[in-house]
Amino acid sequence: MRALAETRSVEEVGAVWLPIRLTALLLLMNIVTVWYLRALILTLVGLGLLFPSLLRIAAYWAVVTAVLAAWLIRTWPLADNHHYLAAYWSLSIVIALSLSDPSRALAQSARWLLTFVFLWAALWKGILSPDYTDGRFFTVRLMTDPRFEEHARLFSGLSLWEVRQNRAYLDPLEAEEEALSSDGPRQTAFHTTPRLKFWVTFFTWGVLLAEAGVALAFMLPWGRWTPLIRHGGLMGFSLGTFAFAPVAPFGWLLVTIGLAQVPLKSLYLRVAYVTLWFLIGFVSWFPWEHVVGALDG
Amino acid sequence: MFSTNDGENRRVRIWIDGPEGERMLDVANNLQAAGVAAYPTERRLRALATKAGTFQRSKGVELSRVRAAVWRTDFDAQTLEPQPIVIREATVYFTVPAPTP
Repeated sequence: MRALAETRSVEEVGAVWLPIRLTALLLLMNIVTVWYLRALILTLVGLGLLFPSLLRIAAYWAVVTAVLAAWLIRTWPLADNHHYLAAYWSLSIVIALSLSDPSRALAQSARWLLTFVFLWAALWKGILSPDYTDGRFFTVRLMTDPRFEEHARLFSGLSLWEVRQNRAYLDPLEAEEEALSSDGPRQTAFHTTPRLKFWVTFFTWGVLLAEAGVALAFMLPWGRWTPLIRHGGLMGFSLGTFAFAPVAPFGWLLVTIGLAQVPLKSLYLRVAYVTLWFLIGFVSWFPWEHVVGALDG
Repeated sequence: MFSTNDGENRRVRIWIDGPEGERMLDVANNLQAAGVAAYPTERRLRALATKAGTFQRSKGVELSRVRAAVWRTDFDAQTLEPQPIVIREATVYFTVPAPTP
């Protein structure tokens, strides 16, 4: 166990130096939602990026972890699951920088964090949730979440008006509040299409199987094909999911945790992870309404 | 990660009962109400109702009780017809006359 205040050298930190810097970068992207904690975290990670040696001190990450923990407590029970993951990951960096081999320690933490993130996600979808496997979840979410309005049109072929009628039908309490249904007769049935049913089935089972597969890949012992399955699965999942899910910070976090398990000698894999890290920004901010507009002619 | 409709489809409703009858308060953007929807214990629901009632009375609104409820919406597996279901409800009574604003 090293002193918490000791600055580790770049050589000591080794392969995880890059993911540690990427962690600081993602924390800079406004994920903290409480104003004074956001200002504090921006100051902390800003200083860390300006003076990188700070990022190699366990005590520095202990302070970052404390701020993230304060944020979780302040926003409980409303914090998203990736906010908890960010705090766990920050704590993992504290522990790794306190040990004699930070690279190995952080890679181990990364592996088990990813295993359990994907295992619980698959368990919740496949077994514990009453409305996931029959497609109700994706159908309702596509139609009721205004952030997915363009996706809903793209994957259903319905008009904007029909999507909004579906929203009023599925969310009568909200419709009552927004008076969505006040300018016409109350919608009495759900508009659907074969295209919507196909894509809902595809997303429902595709996401569940992908999450279960990634969990299994990270859980199983190391073998010849394991790196390809683990990292290929995680990268494929991240690219596909965060092109549609409006939570780019979650994608950046998963990719950062994946990268922490890649040794320095695997240059191509490291380049692929960093490329994906930035690509998530492009796909998550892609203007889907233009695609829908083009399809509409 | 995305897995169930129970969460995004929860709503908190607060009604105040006074001389002019019952009316609903708008708490759609209230952070405390959102927290109660996510974790609707009796104590948290009563605290929310008490806070809403106290705030209304501080503005001079006469009221005798405040009712707060958390709803979730279930969807029929075949038709997707929504079925609002009360998860928990609490009523707080106010007996002391409201202070003059």
